[in-house]
Amino acid sequence: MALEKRLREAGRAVDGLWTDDQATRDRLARIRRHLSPTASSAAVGTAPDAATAPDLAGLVVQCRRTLASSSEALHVRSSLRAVAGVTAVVGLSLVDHGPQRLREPALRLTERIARSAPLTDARAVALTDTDDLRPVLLLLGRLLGEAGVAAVGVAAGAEEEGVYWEMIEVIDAFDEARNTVIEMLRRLSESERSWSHHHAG
Amino acid sequence: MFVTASGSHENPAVPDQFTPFFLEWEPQVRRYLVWLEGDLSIIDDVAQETMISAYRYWERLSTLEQPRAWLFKVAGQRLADAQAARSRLGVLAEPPDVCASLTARDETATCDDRLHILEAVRRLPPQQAAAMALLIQYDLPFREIADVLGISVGAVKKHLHLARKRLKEWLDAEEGGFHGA
Repeated sequence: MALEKRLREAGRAVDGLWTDDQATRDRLARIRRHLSPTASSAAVGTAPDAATAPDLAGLVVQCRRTLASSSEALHVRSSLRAVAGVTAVVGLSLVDHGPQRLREPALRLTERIARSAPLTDARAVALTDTDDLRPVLLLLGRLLGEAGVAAVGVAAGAEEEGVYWEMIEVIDAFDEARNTVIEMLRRLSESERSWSHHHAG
Repeated sequence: MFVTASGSHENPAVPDQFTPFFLEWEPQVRRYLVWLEGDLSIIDDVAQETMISAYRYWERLSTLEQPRAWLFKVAGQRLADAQAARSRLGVLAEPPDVCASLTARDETATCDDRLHILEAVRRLPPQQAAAMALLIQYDLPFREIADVLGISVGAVKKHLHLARKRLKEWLDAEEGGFHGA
């Protein structure tokens, strides 16, 4: 078949994607939550109630944006503390409300982050839909990777020895936390696979 | 209490006009991105970031008669950032399969063999792939493609010529190999 025709047919196939209006409205609702001033409530350690509780993915996305917009060392360090806070919120939420097989690594994640940063008043967010865990963990993994790179930048430019060692500890903590997130993703995939096998059988 | 530098939001609520804009253009941004990237989680991320940028620039954007060039340009920049981050940080987990995920998420999605040509387009250099996507998917005039990519009309024509040449070579080679097997 001629190339031009194949390309046009592919274009028509792509036209059939993302045509579900309700799904688009759901994505808009998610963005509205991100843009809402209450979306950062859990990140600053206040207790989100049922009416204002942001979704975990929204918290992580907002934290990534904050980190990406931070340039000065002081601002980056503040953003890194927010990363630790959001990681703890995700960890605690999974410990309290997540599936059984994620609770142990989630506890490890929270404890590791708590050893590296002074976390107070981080609260769990109630999980309503376990299907949302995979994107949350993928986003958190990326955030931790980006935060590690940002911490290396601060450490490299640190004039005070205390700041340097603080960043080294943060780098280690985020690296270990990211490994734990990868482990959780693997556990999630395994449970999805065993569920599919069970139902296929 | 730990501190987060929360993003500043000038407008307390998403303006009403943004809703129809979002419903019309967010899927279009995704359809553009699917020509350039196969990892659905990155498409999700980039489309979301693009629409958040659209919201932030809403006052200016809402005055444009045709906002698509702005949206595609921003989406392209965000995608380049996301792809660079993936190269730097590696892949956390096997990315969700676009076709499977799309069909699962969107019951009306058609996901057949025609989409396989997308994989070939994604293997092109970024500007060639983007020019091809904008022409095939949206029939954008060369002038507008040039605006999106920030290059001259002549460069757009050159990219499209090279893209077609490469695609034809690849597809001919694949089919030759297939028939020869």
